[in-house]
Amino acid sequence: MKYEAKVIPEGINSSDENPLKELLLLIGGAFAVIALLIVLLAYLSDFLIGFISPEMESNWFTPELLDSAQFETYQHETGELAENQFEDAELYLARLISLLKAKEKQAFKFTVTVYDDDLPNAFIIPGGHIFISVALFDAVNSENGLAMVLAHEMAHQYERHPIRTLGRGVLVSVALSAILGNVASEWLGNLFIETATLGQLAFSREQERDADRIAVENLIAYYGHALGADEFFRHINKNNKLSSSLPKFYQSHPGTEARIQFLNQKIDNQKGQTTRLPKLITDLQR
Amino acid sequence: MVEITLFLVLLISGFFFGRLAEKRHFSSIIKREKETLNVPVMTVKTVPAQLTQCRTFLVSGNIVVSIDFFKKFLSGLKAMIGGRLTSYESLLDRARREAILRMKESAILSGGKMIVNVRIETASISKNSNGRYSVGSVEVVAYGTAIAP
Repeated sequence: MKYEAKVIPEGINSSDENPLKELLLLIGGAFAVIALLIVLLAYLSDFLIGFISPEMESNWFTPELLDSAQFETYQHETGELAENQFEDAELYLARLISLLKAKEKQAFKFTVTVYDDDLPNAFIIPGGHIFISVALFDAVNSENGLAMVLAHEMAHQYERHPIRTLGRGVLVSVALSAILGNVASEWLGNLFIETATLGQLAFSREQERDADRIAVENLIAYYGHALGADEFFRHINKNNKLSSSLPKFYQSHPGTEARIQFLNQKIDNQKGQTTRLPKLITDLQR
Repeated sequence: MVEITLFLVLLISGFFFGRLAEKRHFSSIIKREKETLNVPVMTVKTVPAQLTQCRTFLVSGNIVVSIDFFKKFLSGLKAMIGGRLTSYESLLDRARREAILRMKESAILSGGKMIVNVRIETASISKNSNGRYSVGSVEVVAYGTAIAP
């Protein structure tokens, strides 16, 4: 037996290929799979939501059900006193909602709750329950501005946005947790969650644009013009620079500037007068 | 947003520093392997008959190489679909060759001319490094019987 020392050739036990190529391929694949999954689940969710009529929805998400969860937080924060304080405003808003509601939309039921908060905000949750922060009254100058906010939230309900978002959220998070249970790296899991979040934010921005469009039509149908529709957005634009500093794909709403621009196209060349806010609302302004 | 930025910084710095370290390490390994080519390393269990009168002693070499964030992430991604984890293969290759080189260098220092009964083992000192910011490492120990005239 003769031993001969030899230089072992390279590239047998390790490959020389650039790992970036592999990384891009894998990340691209992962994004594509997740994106496809989200789109499929969204369609599935929308398909299933089609079987839930607005009446069924309001029967499920009753104020009694919400009493135990959502309402309580606000009551807890605002205390007993606040409930009575805003009752008149709530009655006024409820009347405004029924005036704004088109004849063919009578199947949709709404409730409205005013809560005490310094941040002007309005939102709607499944079941047609609209929430308005008291600070929102400061952000509008006329009844038209307030009606636009209400019409926007109502438009979300006409389009079934709250329950669709809920349905998608549930389906996507169930699917994600099934996948994430089998993912080795926590970072990788985060990447998937971020992708899913971006997808949902894109849905959300689309919903906001739809709601704006429907709301402005609703406003024109009721008042005969869309004047004052942009009051709330101008107020946000003036007072809140934070949201616009985030990149567009990271926002749940379209840029305020873009929304004002859209509304301005509608308002342009329209004649008419805005309706003044009633005293019970101006009394709540600070 | 902070999460994503931190992640990208870790990934990019992992890639560049990891690449640089690996390149340097490989060129050092190849150079030293050529230099120590005159010391045969074998896995035979017994000292060759004609060398039984020589002095023998134990030599060993060990190394711990850390994986970088980039490699860890890439392998996590790859593990989902299966296949060769090439980002880990080069790491193992480096560790094994470096451990043998160190063993040879220690033999040369003591006048050894060849090493027999070479064994290579992996040790585990960072098995539980599955946390978010922690990275694992590969540990290789090579040992054998050096023969000196």
